[in-house]
Amino acid sequence: MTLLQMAWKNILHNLSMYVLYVFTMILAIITFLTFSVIAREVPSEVASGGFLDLSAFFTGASVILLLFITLFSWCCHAFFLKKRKQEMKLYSMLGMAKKQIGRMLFYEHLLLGVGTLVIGCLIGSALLRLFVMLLMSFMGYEGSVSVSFPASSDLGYTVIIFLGITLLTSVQSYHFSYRLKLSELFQVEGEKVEPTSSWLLVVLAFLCIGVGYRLALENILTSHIWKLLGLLLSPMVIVGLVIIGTFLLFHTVIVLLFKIVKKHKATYWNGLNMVGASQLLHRVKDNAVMLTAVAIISAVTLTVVGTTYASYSINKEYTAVSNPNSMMFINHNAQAVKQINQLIAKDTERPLAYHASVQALLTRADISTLENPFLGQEQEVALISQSMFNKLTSLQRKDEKLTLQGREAVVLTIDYSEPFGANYEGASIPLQVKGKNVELQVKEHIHDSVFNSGTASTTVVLSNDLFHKLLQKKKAERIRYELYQFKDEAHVKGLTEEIEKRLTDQDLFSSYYQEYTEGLGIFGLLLFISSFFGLVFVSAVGTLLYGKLRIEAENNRDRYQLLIKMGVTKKEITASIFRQLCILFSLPLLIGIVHSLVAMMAFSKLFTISLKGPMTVCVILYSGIYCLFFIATLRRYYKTVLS
Amino acid sequence: MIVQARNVSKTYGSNGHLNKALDNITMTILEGEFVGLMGPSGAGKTSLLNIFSTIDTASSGEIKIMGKDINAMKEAELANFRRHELGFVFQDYHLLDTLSVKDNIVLPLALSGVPVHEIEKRAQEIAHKLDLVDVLSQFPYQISGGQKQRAAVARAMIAKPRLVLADEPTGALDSKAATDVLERLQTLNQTDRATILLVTHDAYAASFCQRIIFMKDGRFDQELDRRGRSRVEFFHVILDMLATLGGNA
Ligand SMILES: Nc1ncnc2c1ncn2[C@@H]1O[C@H](COP(=O)(O)OP(=O)(O)OP(=O)(O)O)[C@@H](O)[C@H]1O
Ligand SMILES: [Mg+2]
Repeated sequence: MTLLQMAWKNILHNLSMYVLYVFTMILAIITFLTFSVIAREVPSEVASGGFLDLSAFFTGASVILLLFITLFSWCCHAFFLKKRKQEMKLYSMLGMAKKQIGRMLFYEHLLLGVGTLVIGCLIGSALLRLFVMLLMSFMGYEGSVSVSFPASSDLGYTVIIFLGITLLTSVQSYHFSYRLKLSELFQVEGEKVEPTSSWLLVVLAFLCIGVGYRLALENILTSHIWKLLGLLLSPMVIVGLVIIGTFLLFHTVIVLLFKIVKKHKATYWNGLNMVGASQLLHRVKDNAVMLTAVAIISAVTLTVVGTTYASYSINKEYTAVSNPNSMMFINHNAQAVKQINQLIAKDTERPLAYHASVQALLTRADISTLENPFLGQEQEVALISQSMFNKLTSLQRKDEKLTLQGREAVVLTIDYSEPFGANYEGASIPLQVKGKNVELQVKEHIHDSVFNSGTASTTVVLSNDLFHKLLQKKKAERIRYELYQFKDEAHVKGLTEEIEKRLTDQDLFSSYYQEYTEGLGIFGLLLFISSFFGLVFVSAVGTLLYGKLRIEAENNRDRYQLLIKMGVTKKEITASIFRQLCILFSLPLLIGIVHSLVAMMAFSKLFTISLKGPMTVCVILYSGIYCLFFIATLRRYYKTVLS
Repeated sequence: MIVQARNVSKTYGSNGHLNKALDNITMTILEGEFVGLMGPSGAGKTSLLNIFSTIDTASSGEIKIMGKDINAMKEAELANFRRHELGFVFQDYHLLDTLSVKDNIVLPLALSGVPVHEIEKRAQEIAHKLDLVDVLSQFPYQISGGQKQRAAVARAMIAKPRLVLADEPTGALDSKAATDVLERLQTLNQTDRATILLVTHDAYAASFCQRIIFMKDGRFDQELDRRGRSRVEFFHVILDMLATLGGNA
């Protein structure tokens, strides 16, 4: 039998060990291939409004994916090799040279990698059309898709990259054979000394996590620590603190829980409790590293997918808030507006709900008293009268009605981000209307507007008297806004384009439809990428846990067989294993979820979006897939231990 | 009568490769007996022990342990039976390396749901009898082979089983440690009236028994009874017997 044949036999023999790893790698290959095709093809298919450089985006995503998958692959191979240590030592004892063993392992992992690559590329190519269609529907793109098969360059790229990873792990395996020590052949593995811990470490763990959380939830603008560390270093410090804290937490909590249980003899000396508990304890260091990795990857996955999904799902609502009118622009050219009005009138299929022409004043406001470094000292604001405001709110079916007197004013803004936004309420703001200064008393700050934020961002409503007095000023900068509302604003594609053609950049044209489709494009793309990432990540996490516990099951086989001899029923053993695995699987998932919830809270503070719904969906989906891996691991454990 | 076996046979392998490990064995063990089982390698000693311990089933024949027909018992029943009526000692100890010596010893009681104060009491009792008091809080890797085997004996005995099955318990020990373990088994047999079935290759170990059964090729060959002889006298009788049987048992 040649070494290659032996390698092939070994793969078949260990297939059940490799199967989840292969599955995850195939997912990664499909993802990589899809990204590579889309990065090349899609920019020509869908214009993203120039907001994003798509190919750079996909390249970045691919690099992250590759780094992750390389690390993952390395870890998995470390497991595989560890599991087969005894076997290799036996070969060595039977007189196989280390070089031969190394070559055999090298071939084995090379075959495995190449096989995975071929399968991945085949499935990826077959499903590509489906993925592109999925992306298009995420992005709200209606039209036919020309991509149906990856180009040879995409395949070539994928093959080269994944062959690289395969080679790396094959060399890792080859190298492994040289580190085999026969003297260790009959030694038992695992930590021998009983691990210890102290309450001080628990405090430290909670301190690390607590400080990390606190920092994450600080107001970025006013926080001293953020100022001190900078916008780049602060997130890194937070992540570092949370990782260390999580590790300490797993380590100390397992040890101390064990100590407590051990003291409570009625629990400890009850059935298989002491067997299960002592097993958890004696691998606590290994376990803690593992659980930390799982918790952190879960947290990252949930946060990324949750955020993108939230952005995607609130795109409509968001666009509606920032565009209370279907269209709005500044009237600089009466002729163009006339043409536009005719165009709209002619289009009977897209009836108008209203058209308003609004007289306003543009002026600069001194907002230094707000002390908002993001907004600066001065701001351009649009002034309208109270009666115009009331007219617009009734057109827009909003409830607010204002009655203002003297120098009272109401500020309207649409805020995307709480920490960056300012609160005007109660402030007194000097206005510089050419030639005269007026001090306004801000009576109220409404976080909503009657204008599209793309055309008029900060708007100030004045009493009718004051507005007309300012309007009379000779040097006042008078401006006219045109506001349109379609009855069905989601289907005005062609018309919108026609209208935009007749306007210039200075007219600051904004439309609900355009913003909505643009947002859909960007967030759809992000959602697409992050869903793939999420799948690869959860699968990787599941595979790692599966691999780790599989080795453990094999190491524990003898002790469970002994327990059966001593009269423990299979039912009792499965129950004990179930409890152990439940702890090992649920702890990191729970911690991961908590981390991600805190991250989401920080984000939602930053971007004033509600993430509850999307986050719940993500957590349920993630936990569901994770649960499948739990079941697979459990079944494998039972099978290993009981037969 | 603790064990009553009639015409027990055991065949390993399926249709192609049949291997008869036990061939028509009939034997009885009475309550309180200390019985030795000797025979050359491959004679079927372990096979017989496994059947008595209900881990394995006989291909044919009838076995009653404490009057119960173990062929007719279901899995859960068997497990319960092993837990309460049987104790095991193995050649390579089989202590759980993640548990302290004390936890290892009390495992059978914990499994049966015995209350804590009772566990504590019995652990002290047995630890005194087997001279393990000083190592109770140690872990198996920290103690000697003899201590490990005494711990294994303690574990087998702590639940006061009516039958203790020991498969070459002294096989991995030097003579001093072996003597120690054997003497304590003997004491437990005499004071607690524990019935013991001991498999051994070693005439010296066998000389602690009251009765010795010699096996060969899956059958009973000879039987020796101590009959009031001293241990040293009995030892010589066994040696003589082994010589006539071919010596290499
Ligand atoms: N699980 C098994 N499958 C197949 N054959 C077996 C099995 N166990 C034992 N045998 C065979 O049954 C016969 C008796 O084996 P057994 O282990 O009972 O002998 P033994 O007397 O205990 O020997 P030793 O003194 O070497 O331990 C041997 O020929 C052995 O090969
Ligand atoms: Mg044997």
